[in-house]
Amino acid sequence: MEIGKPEKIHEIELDPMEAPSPDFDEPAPREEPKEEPVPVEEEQEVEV
Amino acid sequence: MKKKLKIDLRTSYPPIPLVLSNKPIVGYRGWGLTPGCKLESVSVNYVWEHPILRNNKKPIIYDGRQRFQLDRNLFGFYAFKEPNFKLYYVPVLGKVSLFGTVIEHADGYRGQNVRVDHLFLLRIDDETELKRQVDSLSKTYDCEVMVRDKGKEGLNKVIAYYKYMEGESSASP
Repeated sequence: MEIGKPEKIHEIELDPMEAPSPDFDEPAPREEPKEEPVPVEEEQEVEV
Repeated sequence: MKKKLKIDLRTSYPPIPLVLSNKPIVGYRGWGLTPGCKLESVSVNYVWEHPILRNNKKPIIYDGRQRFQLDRNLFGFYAFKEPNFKLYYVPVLGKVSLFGTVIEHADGYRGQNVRVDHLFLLRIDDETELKRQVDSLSKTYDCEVMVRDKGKEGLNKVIAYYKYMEGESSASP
């Protein structure tokens, strides 16, 4: 590959394993399903 | 009497600025494809076995006076700056990120470490084989693999795609 004359040196301190991957159509994070509130009281038939 | 001189090629010739950064450098390149569906360099005999490749030897600047033994990967992983591929005939084109010591040249880079980020595979007539190649590349290199059509038009679409994605990423904060 012909890439021409050297012009600059970069020192990239980031490790490839730590670098974020490019966001090519990355799926959106899944939302955790919310739990339905559990009723604390319930109606009971009471003899009066 | 001959004197032995130690030459620091990174600073002595030519005087090249050093830039420290914690952001990878993005480049574009082409590959051949082995029968086992692995990427291989076009101009040297080297198979890309993994999505991330590391080189213990830092790339150095060739100053025209010293001759270096052409050791495996001595000169680093190559990539072009722009996705204006001239290697339209190779079966795979793609985008990489470069890490570690990276020498910036006029038209491209030579990096110490590299990661494959995205691939475009050339379309072949056998759909079953094409699917096998896409699946295999995607699994080996842990990245998205898209298919490009043959000819200049297919190549132009690849260039347009990468330029569009480049614009998108530079627009984001």
